[in-house]
Amino acid sequence: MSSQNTTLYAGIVIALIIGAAVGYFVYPSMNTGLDPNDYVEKSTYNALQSDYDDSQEALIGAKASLGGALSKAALSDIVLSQIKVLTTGKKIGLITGTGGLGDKSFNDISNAGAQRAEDELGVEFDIVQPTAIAEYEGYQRDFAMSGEYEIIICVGFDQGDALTIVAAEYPDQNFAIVDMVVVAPNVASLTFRSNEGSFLLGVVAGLTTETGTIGFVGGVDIPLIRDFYVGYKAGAEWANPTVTVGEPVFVGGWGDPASGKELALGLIEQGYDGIFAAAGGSGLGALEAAHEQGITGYGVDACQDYLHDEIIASMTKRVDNAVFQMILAATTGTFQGGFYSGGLAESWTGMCRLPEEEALWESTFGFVHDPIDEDILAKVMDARDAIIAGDIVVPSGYD
Amino acid sequence: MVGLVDVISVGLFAAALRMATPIVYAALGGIFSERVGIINIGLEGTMLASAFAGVTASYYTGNPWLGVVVAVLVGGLIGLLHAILTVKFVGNQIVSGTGINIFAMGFTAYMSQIIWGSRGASEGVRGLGTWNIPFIADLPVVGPIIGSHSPLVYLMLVVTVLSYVVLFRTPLGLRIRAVGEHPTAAETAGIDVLRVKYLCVILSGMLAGLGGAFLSLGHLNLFTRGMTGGRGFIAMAAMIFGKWMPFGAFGASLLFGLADALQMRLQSLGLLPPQIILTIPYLLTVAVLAGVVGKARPPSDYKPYKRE
Repeated sequence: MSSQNTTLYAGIVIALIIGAAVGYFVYPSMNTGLDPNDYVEKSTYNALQSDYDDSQEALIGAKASLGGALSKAALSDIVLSQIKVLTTGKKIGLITGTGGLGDKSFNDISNAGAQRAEDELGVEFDIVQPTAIAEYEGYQRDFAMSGEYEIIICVGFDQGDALTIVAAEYPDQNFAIVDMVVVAPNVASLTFRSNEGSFLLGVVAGLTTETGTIGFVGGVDIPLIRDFYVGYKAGAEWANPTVTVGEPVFVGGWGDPASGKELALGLIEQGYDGIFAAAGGSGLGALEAAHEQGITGYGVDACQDYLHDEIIASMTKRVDNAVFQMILAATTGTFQGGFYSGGLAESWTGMCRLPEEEALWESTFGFVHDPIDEDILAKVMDARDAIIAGDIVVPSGYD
Repeated sequence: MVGLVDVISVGLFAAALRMATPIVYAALGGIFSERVGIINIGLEGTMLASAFAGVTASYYTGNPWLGVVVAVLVGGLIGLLHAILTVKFVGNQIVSGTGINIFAMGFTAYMSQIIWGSRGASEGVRGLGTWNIPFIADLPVVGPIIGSHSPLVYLMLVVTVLSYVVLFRTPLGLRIRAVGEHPTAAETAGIDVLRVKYLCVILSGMLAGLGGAFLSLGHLNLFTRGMTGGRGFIAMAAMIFGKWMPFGAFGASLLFGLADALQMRLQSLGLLPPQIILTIPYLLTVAVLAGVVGKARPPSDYKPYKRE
């Protein structure tokens, strides 16, 4: 018995000694005493070198063309080609909201921004479409963990909680989040002054109404949605002092078009002849009520005017512009985390009947607007200029 | 309080009837299922799947009535699935029903993505429109309330009466109730218990299917993700509140519909914050269930039945 134990102990001791000896000889050859972080792979070095050579060539080309005709277009082409040298081949990640692509709204517009970056800047982008809020964190972490994305763009306020966690885990990864504020040095929080775009919509609604009473159907009573209402109300009252903008009504959810329709029918019964629906899927029901009862409806986020003839204008949130700007910043190395707010001046919010937007939406959704009354459009343009110049201060739903 | 008087209008009652309709259909479905001792918590998912199926059929054929037929068939199929799982394999009724709900939510969104390229909403399709009932539509007060609705609203009234007649005035109804209350005795009396259970659970799915068709083709003419919005669960409350009786469930659904319609109209007055007004239907539900109903005695003990 005891001899067996002795053999066991001896075996363990011998095994330890052999292990230590092997380790002593093998370890130095594994660890050359140099920190691998000080060195780059040959392929990376070559890529950098060729990038540099390309940019030098482009610079020489630019100088040559500068010597010739110095038109503004040529100059912007030169700048663009210079930027393109920096951005081409870089990767960005896009995480849509749970609505996914094809929502003809938020997610599609964000995708359009990334698409534009692909066309104009030559970046590559990967897109994932989570189907539930619980999936956001996993996708964000997968993207961040790969380390190959210059920036990861998260669409939708409901990604905020997940991003707060993931952004802290990957402090060297750049993120942008749409419609939400996440306080972290590596996150750009993109918010939209919806009240300004809604103001322009209110101008249209205030001048279009015949009964003098217009209303608002919201999804949920939160400041984000109130922002649309107060802007709309202010715009309508600015354009038409005699208009009555009714109290806002709320569905209490984003996915209940049946309730949205009943709310709108209730308003129409009370003599409302213009309804602005900012309620996601529930809003589709409200717009259908407008169509059925033959009153004017107003859409939100994207141009929803293609749905029915009665929808004559929509407040637009130009997430594409915001996303494009963030991609540009991240791929050119000028990205900075923090709070970004965009309105009419930045072309981050707007209205689909504005001359610079109308054609874009019509080609996106394949329809043609009925022409808008010129006096109304003129008033809209006045309002926009005044807001950008600061002569009109649009109230905010966050106050 | 001029505003409050304005709110009590004929439009309010018409809206209440519309809001109650899908709940009535699903509650009747719940009654048939529970009367034979099978809890059908999958009403919500069945409605959703049928709402989707109806819109899809109308989208491809351009015929909304065909959409209704397809919706009912899909509802029946889901009912059959629930029956196979719970009657034949004696599976847990809650698990099967919950599975149906989760499946319907995911599957409809997925198919919607494939068909319309959007997970959120379908394209607009042809709906059933509204029927104006001659004479009644021209009557004062009554006309605006019941004179002009989707045909499925009128069908709902018919189905409610029919359900009562079948359950309490026919031999089949007697068998259905016997199967729920005492399956062993029913079997002894020569009733094919399993067949009656199958029949009723399938019927339950078909009725819920009609509710879904009303939402997507009767009230609206599009499908959006999760558009049933919990109405299947409210229907279960209406069923219990109505003590598993067709007219009881009808009354309960109407009350819920009225509370909802009232809530919507009160919001536009701006007297109270919307958050408080939005709670009215739920407060009413709690108050009614706690105070008025009294003891709700289910028509069955819901124990799985196995032949000796």
